[in-house]
Amino acid sequence: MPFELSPERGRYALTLAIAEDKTFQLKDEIARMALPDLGYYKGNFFSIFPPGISILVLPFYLLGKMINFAQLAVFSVPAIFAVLNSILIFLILKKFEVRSSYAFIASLIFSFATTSWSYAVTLYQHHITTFLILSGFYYVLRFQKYRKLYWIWGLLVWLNYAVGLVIDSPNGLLLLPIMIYFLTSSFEIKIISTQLNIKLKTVIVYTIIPFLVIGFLYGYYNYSYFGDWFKIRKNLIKVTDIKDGNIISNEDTSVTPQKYVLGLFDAKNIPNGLYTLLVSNERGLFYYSPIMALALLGVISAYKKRVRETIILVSLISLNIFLYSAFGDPWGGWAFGPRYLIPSMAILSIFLGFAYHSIRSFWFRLISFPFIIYSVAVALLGALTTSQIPPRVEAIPLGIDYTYIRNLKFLESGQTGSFAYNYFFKNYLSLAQYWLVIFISIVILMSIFLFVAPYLERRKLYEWSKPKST
Amino acid sequence: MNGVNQNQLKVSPGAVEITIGRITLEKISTWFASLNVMAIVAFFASVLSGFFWIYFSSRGYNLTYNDAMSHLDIARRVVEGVKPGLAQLGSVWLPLPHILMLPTIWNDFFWHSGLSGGIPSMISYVLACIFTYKSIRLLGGTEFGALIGTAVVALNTNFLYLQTTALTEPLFLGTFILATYYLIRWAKTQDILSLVIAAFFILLTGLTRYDGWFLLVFALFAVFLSTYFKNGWKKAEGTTVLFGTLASLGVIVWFVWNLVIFGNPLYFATSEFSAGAQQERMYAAGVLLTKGDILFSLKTYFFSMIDNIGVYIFFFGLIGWVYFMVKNKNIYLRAAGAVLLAPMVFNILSLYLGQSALFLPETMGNSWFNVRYGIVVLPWAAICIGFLVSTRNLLVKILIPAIILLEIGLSFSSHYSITIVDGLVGASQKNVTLIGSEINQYAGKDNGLILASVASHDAILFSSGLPMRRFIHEGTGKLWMDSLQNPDQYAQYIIMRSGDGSDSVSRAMMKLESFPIKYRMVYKGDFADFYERISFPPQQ
Repeated sequence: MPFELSPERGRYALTLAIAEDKTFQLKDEIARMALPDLGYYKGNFFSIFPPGISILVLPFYLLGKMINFAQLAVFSVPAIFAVLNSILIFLILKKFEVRSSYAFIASLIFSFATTSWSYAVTLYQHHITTFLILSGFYYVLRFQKYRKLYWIWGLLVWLNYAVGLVIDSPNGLLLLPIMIYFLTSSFEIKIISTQLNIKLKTVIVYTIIPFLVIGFLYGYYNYSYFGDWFKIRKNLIKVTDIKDGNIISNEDTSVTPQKYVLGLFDAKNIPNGLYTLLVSNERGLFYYSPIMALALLGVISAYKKRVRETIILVSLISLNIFLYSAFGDPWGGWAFGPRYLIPSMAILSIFLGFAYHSIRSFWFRLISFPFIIYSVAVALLGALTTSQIPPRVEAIPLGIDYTYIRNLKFLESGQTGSFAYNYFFKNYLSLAQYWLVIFISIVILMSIFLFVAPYLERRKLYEWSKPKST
Repeated sequence: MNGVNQNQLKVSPGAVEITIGRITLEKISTWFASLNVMAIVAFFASVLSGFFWIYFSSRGYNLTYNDAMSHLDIARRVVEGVKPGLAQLGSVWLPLPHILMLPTIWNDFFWHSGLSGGIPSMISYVLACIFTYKSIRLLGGTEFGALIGTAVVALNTNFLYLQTTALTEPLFLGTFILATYYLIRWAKTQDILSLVIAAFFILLTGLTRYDGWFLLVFALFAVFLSTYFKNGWKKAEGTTVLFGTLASLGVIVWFVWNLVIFGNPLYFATSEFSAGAQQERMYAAGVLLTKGDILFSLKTYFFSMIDNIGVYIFFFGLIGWVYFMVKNKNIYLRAAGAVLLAPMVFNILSLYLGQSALFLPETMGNSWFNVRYGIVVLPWAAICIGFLVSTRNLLVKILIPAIILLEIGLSFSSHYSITIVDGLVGASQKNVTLIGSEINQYAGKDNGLILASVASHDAILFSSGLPMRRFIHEGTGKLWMDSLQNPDQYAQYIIMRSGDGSDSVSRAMMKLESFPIKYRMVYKGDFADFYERISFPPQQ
């Protein structure tokens, strides 16, 4: 449901502040709206999140405001990026010459069989970060062709990196494999007779302009408001409440915190983080979307086909998991599924496409089908009901569930923030029936692309390859 | 000939092009080949060792463990005390670490700084790094793989800390890796001298920690079975006897030592001071949850391993081990690979049998005790990772080292070392600085003897900074026995834990009616109390 969690409110609050108050500072009620993700610095309130998302949705806010649908317009942005991510998964797989039916099923799996679906309807950074990763990868794929105007792809890679920093601080690390891929694509190493020839295309240097411009603007924003070009949001005093004009915080408000990006990650968190993010019933990737486990088979076949790209894609997944397993809060607060691993879900979907393409066995697709069904069922639960699932340690004292059982209870009681259901279907269907209709529709769609489309595609390919009789 | 060494740098708007000619390439290649990588490893390991000794000792961290202080005191009592001599090496703890401290322990600075115990540990650390590198190379690992495996050992924050202390784990790791290297050498070459040297180092492990005894049995089986399957009974018998005789010498000597000094060859295992006795008390108190519970023992030791070496390193080590065992058709190498697991198996069995105790936050809530036991699997992980990373598969070659180096980097940047945590706030430490300085203040002015149980309060003795000759303890023979009966005749001071009978002195004093009349408490500490004789009898 919109605004049920503070990260959404915080980002929307900043958009409001920019649009209405023409400032990045949060005042009065707007500041309260952002609690408890509110930062305090020298008498002023700020969102603790980087301003990227709030700026990105600003045009939508302004357009939507004209027709009194500002909030809907803003919340459509993550959905747009979610759709773009699905398209990118398809395009990337096609670049790797994977059959269209398998490429499409991979896109569908990402969209509907992972918990990323819940975050396509919320104002979080995950789909945007995923877009930056996938598009960055795609741009480098295109850049490598060195066709006419290929430098534009280089510009876009740098632009992506800069935007990534402004969207979320860890993106500077998460997008690093893309930049390494870009760098290695700009190198050519040849052995000509007995000499070693190393060629670096300078386009990688020229195209840094967008990064410098955005980097400068972001640094200037930090400097203007916080006196430091490189200040990160976590260095603001975190406010938990405002009472009678006084801020309430768990930190010493007389001292400005001095934290650095790496300080957010701690080696001692890794064991619990890995367990929580991968297999736990609280947020486990393989618990919520077991279909992702089969993607590992696709890594082997992808590696045989495209070594460098596979290394980059696996590095992206590894870095994503590594960073957030070392993060103090792998649960992502109150959330549905492992939201920090949404970028990995997209990449694993790519590998799934590879798995289907290389294995091509009907039995493999049949075996994978129950995994898909379960994953879709769980993902739809989250998308339709709530993302407010607390970590176990908070849920037990409150006497509430900490797995998708909570979502089931919401379903049973008809609680949903779905605009479509509340506006069009509420009077005709119970929420559970609505869930069932969507679920069956998706399963049918998946079955068509998993079982029927490959057969048709194979027949078409066979007919194309047959010599034409004169 | 003109073209063969044309080094060129071409800069154009579209590209920067560097051409390196053949002769230059050959020079670079020759230079790399001439590098003595092992010497470089030894150099960097030595620098790291020395740097971290300075770093931790300047903060007093190398002396936070009670056991570290006890080891230093044991060695000191051999050279200085009321009754110095080799018998002071005692029983429960194996003797090699203390013997290695003897050359320096007589010096007060080496004793009280902990350097006397640090030197063998640091040398073991450097040897561990060198022989990890050599082991991986010997197994056919590439230079790169060997360096990654060495980095796993050299940059482990727990090992870097432990090698500054007088604890026994670093010496065990050093001798274990040496034994492993020579076993691998024997496996590859069937050279008997290598087998003999391996046996020698296993002998040394057996004189360092009891893990070495299990290693001995494991290695005996490995040597016997591999030789039997390859060459039949006769050769297996001969090889095993040769290996076993030397390797088990340390164990035999220890039994004989216990028989001669304490009158019971099993004194180390059955005395009231033994680990077994200590664990029995813990079991009676209901805190030894691993005893009899194999799953909980596995879980506990699993967390100890990943806390000590890192979770990614553990899992890559496991994958590497499986890869090693599958890829190597040589049965001798497989045997050597199996031997690498011996410390892991030993520790799990010890927990299950109730012979050791291990507390971790993951299994026991907010408590730490003996968490360092998991460090002994470091050689296994390092060698297996080095072997794995030597594969031609680019994905493995790039990804695994990157993740490992990230994990190591994060350990450094987050200053995380669970063995330091145990040493600072866990049950492996007692902050006895305060009582130590109080004792020094009271008793430092004169030469009166102090009655104390070293089994319970060795750390306090160490902290007091007073010479060993001031103390009457279990190792002083008749003087100790007489002092327990008539303390006022011998001891001007007493250190004991009052009232609960948890140490042998307090148990004895509780039986003496004259004790409260003859002694008064001058300091009440957290872990023990300090008593002074009210009026000392004249010397006779």
